Amino acid sequence: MRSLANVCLFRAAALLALCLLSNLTSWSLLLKPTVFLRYFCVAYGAMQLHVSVDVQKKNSATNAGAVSGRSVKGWKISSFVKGFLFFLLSILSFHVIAVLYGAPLQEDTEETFSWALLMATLTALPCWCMLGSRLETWVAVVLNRPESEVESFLQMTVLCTVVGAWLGAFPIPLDWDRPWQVWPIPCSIGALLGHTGGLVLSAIQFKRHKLDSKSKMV
Amino acid sequence: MGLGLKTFGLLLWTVALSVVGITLFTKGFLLNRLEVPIKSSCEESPIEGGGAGEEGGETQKKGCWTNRQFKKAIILIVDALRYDFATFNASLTPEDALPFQNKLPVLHELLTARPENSALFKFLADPPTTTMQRLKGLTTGSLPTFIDVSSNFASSEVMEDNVIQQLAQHDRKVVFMGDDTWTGLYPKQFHKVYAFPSFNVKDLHTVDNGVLEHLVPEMEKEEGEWDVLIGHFLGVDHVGHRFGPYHPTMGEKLTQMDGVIRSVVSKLTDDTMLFVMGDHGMTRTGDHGGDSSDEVGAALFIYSPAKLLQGALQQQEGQAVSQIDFVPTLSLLLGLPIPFSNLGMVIPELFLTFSTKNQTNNPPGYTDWAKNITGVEALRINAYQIKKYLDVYARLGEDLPKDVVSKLQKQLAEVDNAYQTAIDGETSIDDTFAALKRAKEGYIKYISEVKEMCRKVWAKFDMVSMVCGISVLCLACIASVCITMQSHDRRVVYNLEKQLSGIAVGVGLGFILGIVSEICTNGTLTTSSLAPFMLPCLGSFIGYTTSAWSNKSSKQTYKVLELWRTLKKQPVDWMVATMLVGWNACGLGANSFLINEDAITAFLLQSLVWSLLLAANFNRQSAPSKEQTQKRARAEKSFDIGRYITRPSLLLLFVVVVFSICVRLSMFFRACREEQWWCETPHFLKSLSTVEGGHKNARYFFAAACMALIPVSLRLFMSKNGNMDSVTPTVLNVKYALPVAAVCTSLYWAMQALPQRVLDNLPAWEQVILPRVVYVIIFSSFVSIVWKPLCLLLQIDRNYYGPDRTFQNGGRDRQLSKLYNQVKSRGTLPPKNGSGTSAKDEWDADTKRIPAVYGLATVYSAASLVMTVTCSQLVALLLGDGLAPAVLLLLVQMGLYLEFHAAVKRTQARKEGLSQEGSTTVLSQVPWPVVVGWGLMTSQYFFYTGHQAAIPTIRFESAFTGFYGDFDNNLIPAMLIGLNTFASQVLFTMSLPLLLVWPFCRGKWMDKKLAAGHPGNQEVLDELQKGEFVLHEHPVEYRLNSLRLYSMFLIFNIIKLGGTMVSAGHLRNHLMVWNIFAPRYVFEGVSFLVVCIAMLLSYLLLLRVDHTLAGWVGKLRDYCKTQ
Repeated sequence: MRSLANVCLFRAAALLALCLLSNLTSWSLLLKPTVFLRYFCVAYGAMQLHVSVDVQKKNSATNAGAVSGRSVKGWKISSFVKGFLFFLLSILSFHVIAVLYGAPLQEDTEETFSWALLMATLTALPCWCMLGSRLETWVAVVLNRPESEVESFLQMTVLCTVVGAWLGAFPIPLDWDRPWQVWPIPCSIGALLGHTGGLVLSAIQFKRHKLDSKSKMV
Repeated sequence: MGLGLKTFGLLLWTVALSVVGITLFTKGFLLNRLEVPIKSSCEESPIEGGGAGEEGGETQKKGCWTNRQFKKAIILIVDALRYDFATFNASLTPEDALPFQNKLPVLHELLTARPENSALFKFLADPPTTTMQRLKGLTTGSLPTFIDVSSNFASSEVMEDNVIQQLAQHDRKVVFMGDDTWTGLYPKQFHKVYAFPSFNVKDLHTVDNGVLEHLVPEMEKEEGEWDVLIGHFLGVDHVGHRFGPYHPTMGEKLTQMDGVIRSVVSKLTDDTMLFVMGDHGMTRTGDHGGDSSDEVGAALFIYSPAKLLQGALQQQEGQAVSQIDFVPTLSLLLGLPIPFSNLGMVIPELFLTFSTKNQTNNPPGYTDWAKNITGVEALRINAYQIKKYLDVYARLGEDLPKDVVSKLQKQLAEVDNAYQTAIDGETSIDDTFAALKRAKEGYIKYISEVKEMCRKVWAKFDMVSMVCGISVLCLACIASVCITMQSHDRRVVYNLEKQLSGIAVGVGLGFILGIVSEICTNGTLTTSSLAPFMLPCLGSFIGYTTSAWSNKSSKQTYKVLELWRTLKKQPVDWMVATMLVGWNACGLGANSFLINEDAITAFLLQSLVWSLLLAANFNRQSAPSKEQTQKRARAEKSFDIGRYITRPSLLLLFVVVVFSICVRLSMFFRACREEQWWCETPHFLKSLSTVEGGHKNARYFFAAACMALIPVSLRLFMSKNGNMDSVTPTVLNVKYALPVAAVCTSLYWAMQALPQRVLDNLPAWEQVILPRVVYVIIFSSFVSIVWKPLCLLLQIDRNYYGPDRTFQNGGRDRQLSKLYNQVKSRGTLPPKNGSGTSAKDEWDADTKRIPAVYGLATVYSAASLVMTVTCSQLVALLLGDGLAPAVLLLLVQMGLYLEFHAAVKRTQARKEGLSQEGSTTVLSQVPWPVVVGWGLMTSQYFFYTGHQAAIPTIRFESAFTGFYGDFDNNLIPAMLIGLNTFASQVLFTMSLPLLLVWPFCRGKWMDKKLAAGHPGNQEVLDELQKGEFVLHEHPVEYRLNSLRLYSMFLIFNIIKLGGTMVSAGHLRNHLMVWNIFAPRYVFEGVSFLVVCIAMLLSYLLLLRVDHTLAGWVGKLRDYCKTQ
């Protein structure tokens, strides 16, 4: 069995590795942001699916259902479709939010969409993988006080990602004339950094929690 | 003194503190230059042994300091003639050329055909590039300072020594025609004046036609009728303001100018010089005022039938001279003394055939010699004149660095020695040439270094005054924070009087002490003394704090530990809001953030609102009981889309999403800064007559529809709440006058869509009648609100509404019973009718003696709403048709924000379910994040009503809505332009009371949804039913919380103002200080003043409403007692 802390560290490592790997190829984030984001989302999403299945199996019965009030059942086609639709919805809403926050409406649609895809992959996808396909639960987990490890993990990463992306917007108007100051790049970097930070933080939290409980037992 | 006045006193005190802060800072930051009153005279030549040459005793050639080379001069000023308007690009075909290109071919023809008689220079103006500053520069030759801009429309006579004054003094006749700014500057000096009003930007032809009519006839008048002829054309500038340089009208105008120049050139005599110049350039949008190269780079063309230059001038592309160089050049060419304060440098190339010294020998290459020596001689006179000025200035003022001055003077002496030896020495001609060349360079170096030094020094700042200003502002901020915090506790009421008297004593003592100390140390009182300003501020602050500290209850609040504890208790949105405010203030220190401030403000506002939503959800869902959630989950197993969508949190989400969309939509109304090269001016900001084809109709009708919606929705809103049933002046106003005002505004816009020619031919009264009607209506609306602020209908005898009456007004019966729910029926009436039975029962039971009051539940918000809508109509008229949708959007956004706030508040009140007083307190306490959102919306709509914090984007044309442009004083245009520029500040500040009262009777859509979840305590629910009348029943909470709200809004504005002050002060030597930071400070300062005035006015209105309501209730109570 894999502990959640290890999952966090593994993911953080994988994320960094993906980013570093992309620098070796011609489609790094700085050169071709849209291409990079697309490939990154596919790779990172696939990894999440793999990693989270057994975590979910372990936790589904006990924790994740607590908020929604009903246990998450195994994989069904219908629930998968529903989850997928929610995932698409989250991409769309991130796109809309980006436009509302000032991203250009008609130009740069591809860039905005790629960024939305990234955000959805970093926030909605983990929820889908670990909580099952109920939008209610996702929102509740993010907004409420966490009651279990999985919940606090999700909350931490989601909030860190969003805050990171938000902070990433600030360098855009500066007049440094750097190539990376173009719209989706700083926010994507911010989101990635925030996500990594969230992963590391929750890993630290779990380790400490474990130590605490051990010392209590002793 | 009532409680209301006491709180008003505290508010007034903080406002006064911050105003003093602004004054002190401004005095130190926008420092003025010392004007030296001395005038140059003909007899006192700056060089020893100088004076007019006596060649051949030709009296008419005799000049003052030099010989007089030309007898007469014609100066044609084409306002905003940019350098590239005057150049000629032969490779362009007429079809390819832009409207402003190749439209002045006469210059090109003269330059190629008679290269020795003509010259074209790039004419670099000093910023600020506004016409009056430039005229001052063009005649006095001195550098302007920033403060001069503010007096642009208050033409005041030039007191410094200047060319016009010198001409008049030496009996040269100056004939002037054109822009009447000149007559303000030089009221007595002209021999003959044909002035035309300049202020009306829409009028493209009056000034030009006037000049055309008189120019050539005046020229042709006999000898001695004139010596200098000045013509100032304004058409090009006005076309630029109105249509921009890319409009075909610009081509027409420039072609007209070409014709003028041609006719003048054809009639020139040999002893006359012609100058054609622009006083400044224009940006690609046709505005000016800043210091971009387009605005600074004007054109200067010089021509004379007599030989002007020795050989063609080496015409490099864009050879530049400074604008102030014109002054010494003209003076010496006409044989006049150079004005005393001139800092310009003669254009040496133009000094050709005269000398102050008799050259006895004619060595080979004499012409070269002469060419050099005359130029150098002119430079030498120029340099000595500047030396003299510098000496005098250094003696009078203390701002010039002494060591630099003495170094410069020594440098001049060295150069001059070298020059003397070169001339007098018996060296070979080549050596002399080399020495002359060195001397020439030396003089040029000296003059430009002096100019540089002065430029630096006059852009210097009075640091002490600036720091004092900032610290007084800090005091104001701290005081507002204290007032905000003490308002939490209602016991503070008993302390207010003491605080106020403490403040009064502090001010008095401080003032006396300040004056005494100033007299003791300096002996006199001057305007620059700081102590009389600083000490009263300090004294009042000390007076306030000591009396506040003496109060036991508030003592606890001020403990640092307590402060920290309350800080830690604050929810997430509080933190976010504070952070955003901090970010907003810090961002004012970076030029790229200032350039993009419009988009950043919208971004911050979005962030704030979404965090408010998150926090609201946190608050509500923090502890859902297990049972409830499970029940909910079970209920939701059957998927019901209707219930799903109308859940409270989703409703809140919808409101926020619509709000966000409004914010995003408003971004389409932004104006472009000069620095935003990527930005395209939106169609909404162009004037309607320049829009082409079908778009014109579409835009017009869209604007008219928006304009119509504003009063209509107010009417609906008020009649829904029963505020429209009475027959008071205010109600009549809302019913009839405001719609009429909207119609008049729309008609006025329709008139503006007419082609310019048609519009110009209309009689003057037809052009102004419609806006004037609107002004009258709006004024009467203001008066009626102040006079009769209550929109209530008291119905004492129920039978009055008999069946026939009900029949007439269909829904009234139903409305009455519905409204009766909100009617104040408890408290002020005999207790037997008290609570318990529902209003409906009472209605049915036919208790005739109970008076029915319509609209009591919304008595405060009705007055504020009428005020807001009236202001918005005024503002919409001034902003113009393109921005009417923006005004509507502003109101919609304001409404959504209020609804959101009200819903959150009501949820909170219901959940906490406190006592009566508790719920009143909860509802009327506006939290800090909400106030921050209000402030951010204020700045958002400053930008998105087509403004930027840059001088070229001020919309001067708004001063002509309803006026012809012939103003006696500057008050009216200043007010109109100010209202246009700070429209959003006025609107949001005037509607600030809405934040306080809105939760009491609006935001009810949340109630139904919540009723099931939080049943709440019946008493509180009753309390909520009473609406805003609760506020009247709890006057202490009402006063304290309104003071708190206003103080918080003041804090927000002070922090922003402080940000601009600190950044302007800290970056005072920054490259872009005059371009970005100083204008930002000026805009923020003026906006702050506007906000302060509006705040005080709306606070007084609040008190007035409450006062009249108290009187009304008293009367009602008396009546009930008699029954």
